[in-house]
This record gives sequence, C-alpha cells and structure tokens, in this order.
Amino acid sequence: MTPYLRGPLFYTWLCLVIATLLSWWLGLEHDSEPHHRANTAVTIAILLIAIIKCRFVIRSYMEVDRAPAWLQWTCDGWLLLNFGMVSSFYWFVL
Amino acid sequence: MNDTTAATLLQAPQLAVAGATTDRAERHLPGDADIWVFVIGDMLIFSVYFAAYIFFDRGQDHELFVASQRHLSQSLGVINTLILLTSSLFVALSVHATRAGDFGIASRFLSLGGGFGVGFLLLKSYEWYSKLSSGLTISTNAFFMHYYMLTGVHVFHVLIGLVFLLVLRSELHGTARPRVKLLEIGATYWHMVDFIWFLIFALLYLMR
Repeated sequence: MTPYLRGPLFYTWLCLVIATLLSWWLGLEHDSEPHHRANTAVTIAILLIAIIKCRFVIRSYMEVDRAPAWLQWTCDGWLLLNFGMVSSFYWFVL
Repeated sequence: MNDTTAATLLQAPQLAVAGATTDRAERHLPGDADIWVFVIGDMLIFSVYFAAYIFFDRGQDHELFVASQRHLSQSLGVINTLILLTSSLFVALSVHATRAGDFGIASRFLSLGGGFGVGFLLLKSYEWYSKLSSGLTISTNAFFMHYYMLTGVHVFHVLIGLVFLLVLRSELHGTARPRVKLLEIGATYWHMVDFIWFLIFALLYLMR
C-alpha cells in the first residue's frame, strides 16, 4: 500500500489538510474582535479556501484534470457560480 | 528557404493535428456520462440551497445566525472535515490500485475509505445528540433549521455513498476482473459528498 501513498494524491490530501486548518483558524473568534459582527474579509477568505479545496478534489481525486474540456469547464463554472453567488449575496444583504 | 526549413514548415500543421488527436485520446471521462449528469444536477441543487440560505435567511437576521453558530463546535466540524477528506483519499487510491490490478490493495483502501465514512457518521450523530440534548432542535430558530436540514441531507448522501462503497467492495472480491468503470462511478459520487461538505462546513460553522 505504501507506494500508492507516496504518489500525487497524498500531496493533494496534505494541501487539503493545511487549507482546512487555515480556514478553521480564520473562523475562530479572536479576542480582539467584537462578537456577533459580520466580518466580510474573513468570510470571503473562508469561502475562497472552501472553493479552492473543492477544486483540488475535483481536479485530483475525481481526475477531472484529465477529463474532456466540457467537464472541466462545467466544474470550474459551478465553483465560480458558488463563490460569486454566495459572496455577492453575503455582501448585498449585510 | 532551404529544403530542411521547408520540410519542417510543411510538417508543422500535421504535427499539431497529431498532437491534438493524442491530447483528445488521452482525455478520459471518469466513470460515465450518467454519473456526471447526476452529480452536476446534485451540485446545482446544493447551490440553490446555499443561495437561499445566505440571501433569504442569514442575511435577514445576521446577529441571530452568528449567535446560534457559536453553539456549534468548530473543532468537531474540522475533525469531520479531516475524516471525510481522508476517506476520499483512500477511495481515490483504491481506483488507482484497481487500474494497476492490485485488487487486494484496492479493497483494503476501499475499506479504509468506508471506515472513515462511518467515522464521519458517528461523529455527526454525537454532534446532533449533544445539540438535541441541549434543547437545540430544528424548530429552535432559522439557523438550526438550516443546520439540521443541510447536515441531514448531507448525511443521507453519505449513507448512499457507503452503500456504493459496499457494492464496489463486492465487485473487487466477487469478480475475477473488477470493472474499473464501476469503481470510478462510485468514487465520483463519494468525492462529490466530500467536497459538498467543505462548503457546508464553511457556510454553517466558519463564516461570520
């Protein structure tokens, strides 16, 4: 099993772990900040990290990086749609 | 222009065409078109839900949502995320091992992937239990309605995914030549369950 764990999929996993921990740290309430307040910069950064993580899974684990162009565009379009929609709605309603 | 240069120029378009053909031939649709139609449809349904969550509810009473969110354990959320993305790694490795003909290893990877999936469900059940026993139910407020709905629908997807993984495991054990296509189909679904959770985790647990 070990040779498989030394491949590129392992590095994808490592990036996902680091990104998850980074977004967790960003989402923690730090003492210097007032509670119950919207924090647009932090929220947009958290969303962006989540979208990048999704793209890692789609391109690497789901092997879309070697898939036909229509599928690559569809997946990237969906990611852009989600990021654009959620961040703009968040911006608009707050 | 000498003969060598002229010959190179004449061959250039042919080489380009040959390159494009090779590129197209090397491109590979993981699984089949049917699973992608299903997965993309599911992704779009989740997008509509995310948009409604932000636009109609969270935006209308932001302070309530942030205050309610503080009752969730971000630590449990992050552990569940790590569990699910590790599960995805093992399922992806299982597809690679199947392609290489290492069916025994593929089966072990698949079992690990499924095991982590079960771990996700156990932790999620504990989280729900602790919230319910604290009196935080689906009817507490709009935030908890979305919390139980989104995580509930996602858990339903995880359960379907685990059934998929069991089918794949029996394919690896029950047939002399397991179908790689079938492994790819199951893995595609499982990975979608994984990355949808990334967005749910960000929207429910982390964003402020």
